[in-house]
Amino acid sequence: MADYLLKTENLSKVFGKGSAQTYALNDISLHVETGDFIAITGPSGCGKSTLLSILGLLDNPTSGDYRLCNRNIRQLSNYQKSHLRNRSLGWIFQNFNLICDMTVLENVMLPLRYTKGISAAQMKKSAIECLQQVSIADKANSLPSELSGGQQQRVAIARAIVQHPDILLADEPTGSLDSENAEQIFQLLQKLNIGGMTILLVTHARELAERCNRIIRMKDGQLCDTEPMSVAPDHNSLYRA
Amino acid sequence: MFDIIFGYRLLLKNKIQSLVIMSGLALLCAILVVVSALTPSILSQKPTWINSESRHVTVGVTGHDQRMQPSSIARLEQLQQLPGVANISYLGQINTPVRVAGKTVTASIILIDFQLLQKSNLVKSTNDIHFQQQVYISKDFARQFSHALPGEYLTLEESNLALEVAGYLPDSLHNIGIWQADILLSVRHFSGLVKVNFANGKLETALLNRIKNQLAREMPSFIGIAELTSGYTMADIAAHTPDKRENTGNLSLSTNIDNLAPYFFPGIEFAPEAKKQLLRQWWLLLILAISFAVMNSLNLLTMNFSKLLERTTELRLRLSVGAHYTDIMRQLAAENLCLIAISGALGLALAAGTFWLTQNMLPELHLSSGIMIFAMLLAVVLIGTLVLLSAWLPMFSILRDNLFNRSKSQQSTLIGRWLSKINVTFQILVAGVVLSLACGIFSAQWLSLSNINLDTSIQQWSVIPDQTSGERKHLLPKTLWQQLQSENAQVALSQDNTIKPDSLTSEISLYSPDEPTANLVNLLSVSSNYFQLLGVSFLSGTSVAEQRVVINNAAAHLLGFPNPDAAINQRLFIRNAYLLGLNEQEPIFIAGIIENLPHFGTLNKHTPMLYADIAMLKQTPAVTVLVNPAEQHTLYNGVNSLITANDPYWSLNFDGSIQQQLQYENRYLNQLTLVALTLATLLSALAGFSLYYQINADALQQQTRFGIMIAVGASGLHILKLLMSSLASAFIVAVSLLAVLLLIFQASFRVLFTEYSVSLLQLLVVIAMLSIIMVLSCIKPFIKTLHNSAASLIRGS
Repeated sequence: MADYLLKTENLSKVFGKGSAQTYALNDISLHVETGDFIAITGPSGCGKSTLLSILGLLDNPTSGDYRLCNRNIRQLSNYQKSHLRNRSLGWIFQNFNLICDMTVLENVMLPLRYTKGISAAQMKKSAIECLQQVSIADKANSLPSELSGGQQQRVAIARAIVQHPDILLADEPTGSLDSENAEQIFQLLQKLNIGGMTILLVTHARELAERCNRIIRMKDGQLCDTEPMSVAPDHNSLYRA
Repeated sequence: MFDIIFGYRLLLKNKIQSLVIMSGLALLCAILVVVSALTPSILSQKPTWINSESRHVTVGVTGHDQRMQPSSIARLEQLQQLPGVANISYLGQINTPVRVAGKTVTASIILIDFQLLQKSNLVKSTNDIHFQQQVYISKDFARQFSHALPGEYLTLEESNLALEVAGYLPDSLHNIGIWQADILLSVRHFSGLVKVNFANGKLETALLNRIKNQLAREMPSFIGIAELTSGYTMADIAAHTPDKRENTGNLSLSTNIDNLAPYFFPGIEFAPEAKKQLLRQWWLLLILAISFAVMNSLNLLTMNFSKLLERTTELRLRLSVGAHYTDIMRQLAAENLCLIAISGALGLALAAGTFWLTQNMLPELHLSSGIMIFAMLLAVVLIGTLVLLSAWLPMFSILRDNLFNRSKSQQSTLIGRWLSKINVTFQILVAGVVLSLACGIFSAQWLSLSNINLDTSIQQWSVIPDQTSGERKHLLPKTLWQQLQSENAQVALSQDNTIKPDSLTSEISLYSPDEPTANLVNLLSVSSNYFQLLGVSFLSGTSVAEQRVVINNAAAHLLGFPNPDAAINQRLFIRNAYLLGLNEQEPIFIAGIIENLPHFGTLNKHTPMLYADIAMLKQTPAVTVLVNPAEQHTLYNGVNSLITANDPYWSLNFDGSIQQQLQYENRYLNQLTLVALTLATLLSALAGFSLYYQINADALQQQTRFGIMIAVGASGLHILKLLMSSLASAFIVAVSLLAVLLLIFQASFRVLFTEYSVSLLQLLVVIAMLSIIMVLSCIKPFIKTLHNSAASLIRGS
């Protein structure tokens, strides 16, 4: 059996009890390899975000197996799950979810503070590097409320990559942005993917999904189609606009 | 460190709220320190010198009334010989005349042996020989004299022995054991105080002394405090002491625990009255501390719950980037560290001040710095625990389910809803109680100042001997009176200041001053026109005259007269009536009854008073002249004429008008009112914030419902009505409880605050204030709710 970075077998999530039972996810089996850039698409309520929450260890499946970085999630304690979220996963949300009472730098340093053995100076250095990587280092001491939506999402991306995670989980990262900012953020994700980062992207935007190297389509909690892109991502688009 | 800074930022975000919360915690900290520092002293059942209470036995004889009465030295010495008795200390009493500052008075002398004096820590004396040359006097006793007595010599008339007045007994030592104390003296002087009268001439001094010594040994004047050797109990002693000698009954033995049960702290364990008074204040403080602790806990719980509900996104994010629940707990603890540190520092400073005041005002408590430090540590630990628990419990409540399922995490449980109702009721109730108390005290002060039944413009001038002359002179009030009358001055005389008289006290009765039901009153000699000049109306009868006295309404009540008229011309027995210049051999009658005057300040209007004619006094160390401001020049002329004609060593000093003196005497009430109003404001603000946070939490939990309501056409008013309706039932319950509490405890409050009263109008004012607090606490959550669109409310974001 091949070693996948992420693998699910017959994963299901059920809400409600008795006759009110609803399958949010039904028999989901998928695998993700290192370096993948996968788009998960589908209509609203099809279970995309629920799937991402389970894959990101923010929720537990009702049944099925889930292995992440060769570890069976069912066998992990809460503490181990926290550790895995901290080290192997990076999250980008649609609403950025920056802490408004912290500066940009402090927001980016947040995941590092839950890692033992890192000095404050090291944290700061790593955070500044990531901010430079997303081209927003000059705003390090600003508060999130002083930034535009695009800038806030860059900060969120910097926070997500500061621990150099194995997988980046992006839940509609361009959903709250205008097309120009959306394009810039997508290019940033592409750039990270080229650098070797595995990315799972939930999006409604078909044109963005098509620029990923694989599309997973969902409907009514099930995978209805997995479409590997025949054409490699257009890396030249990084330099457009 | 990051979390502490973050916590500090959160505190700064809303400065007023933080300040109120911190003030509440600081006050709680201070109260906890004071309560815990006082508790060991107040609740201690035995003096500190008793290491093993079962080894100490108080010895006396059982009287006809089955209560302990004094025994004799001879009897107690016999007990000393019994196996098991290590030693016996003596405590006795005798009434005898003493001479001090040229004045002879009968005093109640407490005799104590040096061993007991040292053990009980009553006063500090270096050794037995030194103590034999000294006396300690009570402040009550000292008030009879116009100057400070310590340093002067007091002569025991019976033995003609002069002893140095070494100092004052503590205020709380009005009673030692079963006796009232004027003077504390070494037991070795007892035999010299025994009075022996022989009908047929004088005896030889040596023989007289032998008789006195023998009588002193046999007189039942002492109770003994025996210390038993190890292994012996009271029963062992009792078995050896069948009483055959005392003709009044059997020897009475009881453990010190039995006898000292009503006494409580080291040094003044012989003063049960002081214990009762302090114990009441201690209970009040304890109730205050518990109420405050509950209020603060609920406040913090509500605040943290509301704030964490608002911070669910942040918590969710922290969990998503790898934080464990323990990290969140640590973070909340660090965030609250600022609150604990600032409140703790404020509270400890406040407590140190209060502690210092208590130490100075009640030195008998023997509060040590060790107790203080322990109490401070205890208070800080308690405050820290309270703050941490109030930060963590809401976190567990919010994280009980999946934090990432917003709708679930924000739903309230049945217990949560009930706790919310209890919190709201409690906060409104506490705010209501403190506002009612503050209103009561404020109106009491207002009323006490506005209901003064005196002409407050009358000025008081004291005529006193010139202390620098080196000669101690006394005034002749009759001469002064005649002189002033000859000047046609509209003046009146009194032996002392009207508003703060340093008056004598004595027992009065309709039958005999020696009877057990005799009542203690304050005595004041005044001229016959005193009441007229002050504008005081007589309830019945006329003014003072020779052998005819006036009493106030409070004294008339004490004597049991059904109405003022019934008291007129009744014969009155006054102990030591000679102090007022009255002839004790002739009957004394009640000439008139007057309204109660604010002699000891407006708070003490009900002090029973007896007034006698100042013209009866042969001499007095000082006189107060009361004069209408327009007549001052006549007073100057009169006094100057008197000085020129009689004695150049008198001086005239202005003591202020009645109005000024009343204001001065009222300063404590002013301070009390200020403290009550400040406390009421602070506690109402705390209650208000707690209500705000509770409503905010309710609003957050109901935002989907509000969103749907707005979507189907509800207006802002409907939302406000819904928010307020959640408070209405709690408000009604709290106000009902408040009314019941005030009715039940009004009598107790009156004891504590003397003039305290709550009228229906005040209650309505309080209810109106509570309503305002309630409405104000609803406004911000209401505005915040309406600020969101219906869609985002429905989404719960």
